[in-house]
Amino acid sequence: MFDETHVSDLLPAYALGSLDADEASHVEEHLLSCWICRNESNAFQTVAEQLSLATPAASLRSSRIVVMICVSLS
Amino acid sequence: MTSSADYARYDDERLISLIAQLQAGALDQLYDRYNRPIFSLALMIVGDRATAEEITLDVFMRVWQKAGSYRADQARVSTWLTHIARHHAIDVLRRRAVRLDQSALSWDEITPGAPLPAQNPGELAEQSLRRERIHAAIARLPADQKQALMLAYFGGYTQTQIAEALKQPLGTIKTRLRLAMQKLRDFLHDEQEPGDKSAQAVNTYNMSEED
Repeated sequence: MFDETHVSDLLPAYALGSLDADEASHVEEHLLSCWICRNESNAFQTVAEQLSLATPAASLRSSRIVVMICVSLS
Repeated sequence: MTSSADYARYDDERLISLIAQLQAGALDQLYDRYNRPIFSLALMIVGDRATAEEITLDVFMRVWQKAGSYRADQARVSTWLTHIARHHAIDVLRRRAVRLDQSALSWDEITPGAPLPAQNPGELAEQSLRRERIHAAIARLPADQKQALMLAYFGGYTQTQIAEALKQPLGTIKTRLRLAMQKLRDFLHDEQEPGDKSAQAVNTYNMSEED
């Protein structure tokens, strides 16, 4: 069972999408009514978003023309 | 008729709204802006170039089909694209049933990549700065926290799955992820702080002048 106190401890993992389903539901429910946790959650979401920048530089071989062909076939 | 030079001047949100009207030139421009970060992210997750290329093309296919469902008040375009790419790449990884302990995910060899194409020099500088900041922040984390973070974000694994694979108590993994994220948040915040502080100082000064 979860208590009704703040969910601060769960927010870092929530931002990473690594909570189990029942914990994630609990956080989502709590965030609906708690602006303190919502603010904190937003801060961790921003961090998680920036992790996508921590990748090695890499370039595609396919040209954008391939995209256009895919689009025309879709 | 809209030329490619016109599309190049539009911001991301405008491009998405034009893609929703099936203007292929707008998709072409969005692809120019974002194919490299999306490919890099996909490559990081799945580990092979051919699959990462397929994922990248799939992402832009989805954008073409679902641009109308984009909500600017909920996320920036870059966030939306990253979300689609990350989830799609993790789905591909799951379908291959790669075992977590066989995962090749590692931050050790990664250095900040070349800057991405940007719409203007200021944006280019900002992008480079953000990439350098996050790399510097990650580099300061202990190895066990980096590993847990990598598996959670790029691997898409839950804390429970990570604990089982690494044969560590669940509480230990929870602590590693929590500490890693808190340190990144604090580091990234501190890096931005000087500007914020000076702005705050000016405001304080102005207020005391009025008094």
